[in-house]
Amino acid sequence: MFTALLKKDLLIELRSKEIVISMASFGVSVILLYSFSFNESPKTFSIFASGLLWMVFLFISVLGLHRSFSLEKEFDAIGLVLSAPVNRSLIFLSKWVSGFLFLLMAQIIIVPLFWLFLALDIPSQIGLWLLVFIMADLGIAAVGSLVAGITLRARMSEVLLPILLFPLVSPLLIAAVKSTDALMVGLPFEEWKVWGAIIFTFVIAFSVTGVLIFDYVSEE
Amino acid sequence: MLEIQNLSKSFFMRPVLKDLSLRAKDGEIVGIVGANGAGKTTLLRTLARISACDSGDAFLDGNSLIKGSHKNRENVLFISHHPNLYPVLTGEENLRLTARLYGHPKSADEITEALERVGLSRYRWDPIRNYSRGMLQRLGLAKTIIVPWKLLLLDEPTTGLDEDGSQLLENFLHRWQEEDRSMMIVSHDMSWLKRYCTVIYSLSDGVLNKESQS
Amino acid sequence: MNSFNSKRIPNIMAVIIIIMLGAGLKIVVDYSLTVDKEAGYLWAQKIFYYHVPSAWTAFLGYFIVMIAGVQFLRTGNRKWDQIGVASAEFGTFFCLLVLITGPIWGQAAWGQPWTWEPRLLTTLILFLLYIGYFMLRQFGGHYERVARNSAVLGIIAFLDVPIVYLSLKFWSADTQAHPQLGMSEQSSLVLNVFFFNLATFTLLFIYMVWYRIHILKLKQKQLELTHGL
Repeated sequence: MFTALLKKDLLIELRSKEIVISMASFGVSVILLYSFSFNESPKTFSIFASGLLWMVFLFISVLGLHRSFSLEKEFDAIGLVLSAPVNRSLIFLSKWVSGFLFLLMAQIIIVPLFWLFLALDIPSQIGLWLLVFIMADLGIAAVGSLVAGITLRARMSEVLLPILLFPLVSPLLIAAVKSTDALMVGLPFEEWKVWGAIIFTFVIAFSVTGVLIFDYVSEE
Repeated sequence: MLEIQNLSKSFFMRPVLKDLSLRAKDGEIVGIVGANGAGKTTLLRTLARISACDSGDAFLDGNSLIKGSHKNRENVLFISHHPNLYPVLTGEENLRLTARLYGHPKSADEITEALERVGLSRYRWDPIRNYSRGMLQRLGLAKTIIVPWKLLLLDEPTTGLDEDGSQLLENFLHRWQEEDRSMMIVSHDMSWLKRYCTVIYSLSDGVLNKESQS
Repeated sequence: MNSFNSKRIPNIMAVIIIIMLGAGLKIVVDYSLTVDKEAGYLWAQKIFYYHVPSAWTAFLGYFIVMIAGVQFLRTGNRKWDQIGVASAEFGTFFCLLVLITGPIWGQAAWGQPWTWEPRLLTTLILFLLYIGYFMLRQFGGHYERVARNSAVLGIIAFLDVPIVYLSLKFWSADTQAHPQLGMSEQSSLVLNVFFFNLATFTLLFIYMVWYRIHILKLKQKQLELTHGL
């Protein structure tokens, strides 16, 4: 059932391509603007780089999540999933994983360009670096899917989503920025493991909450 | 057997369904008439658990549809006047998804056959966004072929159908009538309901009243 | 909770709270001690007799929102939603007091109104989140769905608090330290004044929430009458 739901999200995206394309193109244009605004001093820029990068990711996830959930409202399509004998936790899990995958795909386009445009050094611990991205994306997608579910049928959902999401996601943002920063400078894991722990806690806390509580969120 | 027990639901604190109860034996076709906004659609959406209710429950063969496990709805199919399908996907993909979600995956041939029976096989590879209102209604009927239901919830099934489509719907309804299958049909058209239903209730002010029984 | 209609108990309570607020102010201004040696026993430090009880009351409010949220989802009883909204509103009110009194102290002690101090920042984040909560209640659609969704939001908001606080604590480890003194190190006079004000604020909070629930119930009754029930 979970795979059917996940496949559905991916198939819709494969057909329409609207989510990843809009996330990626928005992200790339922001990065272009960054390089216009900061090209005076690339050295100074590298100090802020990871913070600015994660801000872009946060903005594009709002874009993607909102789109992914509004697709469910067209033709009242979500009625099919809700009336089918499907556990609501699985609906959350499928939205979580697809949201994560969309964000990751957009990042695959954005991140190399970010490094290229702004002439940054490539971090040495590339595996760990990828792991930070994956874990933090999972966290954003988990809390994002939960909040997108809450705001799904609200008026002004496109405004409510970021207003609710940004404060909630702030600890994850701090931890992701700090870890990315540490990796760019090449600090050993020992020195920033507390950030890793916060990202991990965040992912666990919100995915478990989502699984437990989505039943109450999804119904009209 | 379908049994609705003390179902209540309000919108904006205004009660739409008031302590509503109903019993229907297997094979009965229950018709529900009512004016616009009387809560007919809400009743069906609540039974299909698209809408949450405030209190009460409904049972199909003793299994709770509202408070119980979601699995209990595996034999309940809801055809609303919304398509309840994904506009970007094709007719075929939508039906395949529906079958999988109800736990009865269907082969491509079975799905093509279902589409053929509702006269949509030519359009099976078109995204349903391009379908007309009547075609979407037909696609809804195709759901009844691929999901093995014991209780069908039909919301205003006649709206938007052309003459051929209406004929198709009549054929389906006649067959189900002969096969003694359980249904609950909502409509504002009393005379139309009388042709199929074994019992008709009217819904007004959130209360059901028995209108006629054949 | 019995009704506000018999005015006796609420009125007595209101009078007690007013007397306690007045007495508290007199005690804090004239008799209380300043405690922070490092800050040089600033008189402005007395604002902590209001700042800290406000913060505790705000968190009490948000804690109640979470409990009411869990209860509402479990029972579906409208009473729990009313308790949740009322607590959210006055939790946010006390949150605002924290955000106002904090910078006043900051200006006096450090010469700058805002520092990136984890507890103040956690309060700000919660405050922003609850602005979103009220927006959700405003724009969320029909009451029944709003009640369910805001219950869920109240729960996840409170779950987020420890993670927010911890991350900010590590994040601002090198920024200005907040006066953080152990309760046990304080003289009993300081503690007595502090707990007196805490009691006053908690009573005030209970009174406000109680009154708000009374109004919400009246609104509901009015609605029922207009629908002719």
